[in-house]
Amino acid sequence: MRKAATVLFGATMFSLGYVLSHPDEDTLIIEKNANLLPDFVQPMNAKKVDDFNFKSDIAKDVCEELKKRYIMNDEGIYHNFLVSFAMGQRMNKVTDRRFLFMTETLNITKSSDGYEIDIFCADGFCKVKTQRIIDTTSLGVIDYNLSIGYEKSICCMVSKESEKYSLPDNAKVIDGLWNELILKYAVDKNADITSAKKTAFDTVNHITGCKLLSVSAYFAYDFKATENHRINDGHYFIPSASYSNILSALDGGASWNF
Amino acid sequence: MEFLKKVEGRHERISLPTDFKFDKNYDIAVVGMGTAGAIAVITAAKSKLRVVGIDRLNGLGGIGTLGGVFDYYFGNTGGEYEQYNTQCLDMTNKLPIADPNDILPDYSMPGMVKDRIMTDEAASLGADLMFDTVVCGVYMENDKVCGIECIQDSKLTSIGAKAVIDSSGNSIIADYASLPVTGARDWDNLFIRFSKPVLIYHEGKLRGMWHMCGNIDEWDADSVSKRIIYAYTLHPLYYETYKDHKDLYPFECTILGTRQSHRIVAEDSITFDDFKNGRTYDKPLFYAFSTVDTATSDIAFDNPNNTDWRFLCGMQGKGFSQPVEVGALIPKGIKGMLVAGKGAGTDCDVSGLLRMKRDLEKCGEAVATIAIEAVRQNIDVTQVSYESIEAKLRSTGCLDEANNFGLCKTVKRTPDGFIKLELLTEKEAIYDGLAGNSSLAMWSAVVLKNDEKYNWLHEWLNDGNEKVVNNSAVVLGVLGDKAAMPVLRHIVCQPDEYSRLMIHKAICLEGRFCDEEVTLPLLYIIRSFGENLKRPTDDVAEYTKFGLKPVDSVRFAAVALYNICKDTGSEVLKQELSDWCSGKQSEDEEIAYTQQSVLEHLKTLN
Repeated sequence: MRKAATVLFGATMFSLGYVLSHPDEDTLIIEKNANLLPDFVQPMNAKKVDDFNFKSDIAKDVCEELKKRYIMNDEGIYHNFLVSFAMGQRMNKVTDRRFLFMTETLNITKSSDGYEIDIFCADGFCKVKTQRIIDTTSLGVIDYNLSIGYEKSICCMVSKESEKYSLPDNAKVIDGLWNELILKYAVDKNADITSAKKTAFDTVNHITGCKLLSVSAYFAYDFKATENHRINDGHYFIPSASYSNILSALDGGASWNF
Repeated sequence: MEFLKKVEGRHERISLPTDFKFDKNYDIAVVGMGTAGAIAVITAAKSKLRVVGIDRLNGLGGIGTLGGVFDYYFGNTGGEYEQYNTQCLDMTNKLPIADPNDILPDYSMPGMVKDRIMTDEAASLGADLMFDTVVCGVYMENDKVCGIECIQDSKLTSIGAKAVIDSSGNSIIADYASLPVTGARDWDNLFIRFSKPVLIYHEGKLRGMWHMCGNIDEWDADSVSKRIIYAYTLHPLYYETYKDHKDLYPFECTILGTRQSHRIVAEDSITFDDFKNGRTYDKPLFYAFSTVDTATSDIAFDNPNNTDWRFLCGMQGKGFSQPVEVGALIPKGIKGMLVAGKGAGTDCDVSGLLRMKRDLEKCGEAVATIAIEAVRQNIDVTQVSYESIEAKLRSTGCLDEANNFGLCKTVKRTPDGFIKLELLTEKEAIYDGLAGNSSLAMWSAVVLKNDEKYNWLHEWLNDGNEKVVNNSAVVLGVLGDKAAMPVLRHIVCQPDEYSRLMIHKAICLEGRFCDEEVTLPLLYIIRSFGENLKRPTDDVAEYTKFGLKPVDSVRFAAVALYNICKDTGSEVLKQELSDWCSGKQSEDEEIAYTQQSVLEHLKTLN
């Protein structure tokens, strides 16, 4: 059985902010996939950073690093996946921060001294004992039976290949840092990933002067407001993606205290 | 019936009530829809049987598509997969899609397009595709696999199947079923290094890029997780600054680039010795192409066969074909299950045989064809006759004797196929080859089935041509003939007279011979951390061609000393070697690892 004082679900910006700002706390980040940042970066939900007034030193420091390394410009536009790389490098420097990637969460049970979490990872079925939980995933690792307003989308990336280009009418266009554009298609809440990826892929039938570079493997979620729900004593559901952008989510995590 | 699973790394089995019923039932279940599994699920679905495909990711093609490894489209031609490649090529050429370098037929495949085409095909053929789903256990009735357990959206689902295809790439079903598996190299039980690819759009071309990120065991959650974070610190994920950067990074791949993982112990596993000894096969399903994987960075710790081929004989970069029979795809003593892809039954040194994409796809087709026949005839997969599937595999081109080319010059195909190499058999040709440092001559001499060859090689140990002498000694060393020892010993004891490449070879072989006479020079090498071998006359090009670095002299010497220590039982040497291992730790990570791993081995000596 693994033990941690605090378990964070989702290797999101919020989670990274939390663990970076709590260096003395025994934390464990549990992530379903093999990558960091399933909240903004992996779904290509690249919302520009429009407010640089951060509460935490960590958010200020990361912001400064992204600008210094030319990953983000002064307008808050960044090259999407480079943020994930930069955060991975930062996490590697913090040697005692624990992650469990490629891990499914099956159940969360309240116990007398905290929580027992049933997970499935490369070691098989395992238990994690913890005092506190923050679930930062977009929809929650288990169903909390909450009514939350959000929109679901799928994104793809195209490169501008000439001065004159045209894009599909039904896509929201997000400017990239360099020569890339991210196209975002709203999909039904019940849409499955296969049909959603097809929607994004079909961009190729409606563009000129651009080339399709990639289709996201993750859904993007846009929330009406920053969500923060107390599920139980010491158990919170705070979707990182409900923050307005990567750095506000990082700042939110870095500033959070139970 | 029993349910078998892993709990906290340990195997558990649970007896099920007699009235147990699966949540869903299929004829064929394909676990893992990567390069092999994608074609397996499509081939199976074409039969109109009830087919389910399960994958952790949300697309088809695994490392070759969502994993960004578009390049390396090597392997043999022919099979169901070719039509999807053709469709990919057409779509990529017609539509505004960023295309990879050197697009088909012989190098790259646009992964995003292939995922789309294969997913559409599998779905339209009626296969149920369960994405974002992991398999967490296996159902068995005595010695027969009869179902699997999955997790999707945090919920468990049991799936019954008449035939289960494990195309997970790491023998996950065999693991849950507590079956014996084989895996990494012998010295330190490490698999070949993995990578964490990303897509890069560079000068109008889209390609995957990666860096070797170290060794992982895919069955160890903590080590995998640590390595994923570490991987972010390496090129191409790391640049100090992106000022004036021209490349775009359009995708962070959702699957790790694992080259080698756990493999089943099969009814008839394929071994490197099969190839070396020229074993013949009666019932091939297809012919695979193999390189002996060159992705290890510390050849001194690799298995002897690997070292013989790549380094001692210099065959790195050359390849060979090998027939794959059904025995390599069925776990020993188990019914109801087949394995496709990297988890199939091969030994460590020939695991590259089922790593090239075309061959993995052929493997998926072959395995699905067997499963279909088993279901149709209502027999077990182990009972399917070769005659009942041979014609089908020939009709698609999956099985084609033209692919059985034997040795070839390089891993890249020409438009006419691989460039074949003929083994040398004549004395004069082998002599000339040894005089010219020909790797083909070295390998030919090793595998030549001719007792006379020992006479030739012994004779050449006294030849006037130094290269012939040295290379003959290396070949005899590979063959385990102690007649080579005086020459090899001289090279180790008088290193200034030889190239570094030859010194490394001599140390490696002298270590195998456990020659006490070289103990002192070897101790000198490790204590100076190889510095004593540095000199301006090094032939750098020859040396680095084999991926060798100065640190390798220390590795080879340390392993050789350990072998001598083990063979002689010398307490003095054990102490000296232990002192070096546990003394001043090198700042060089690779030497520090050598110290640590040799020390662990020394601890096992009585």
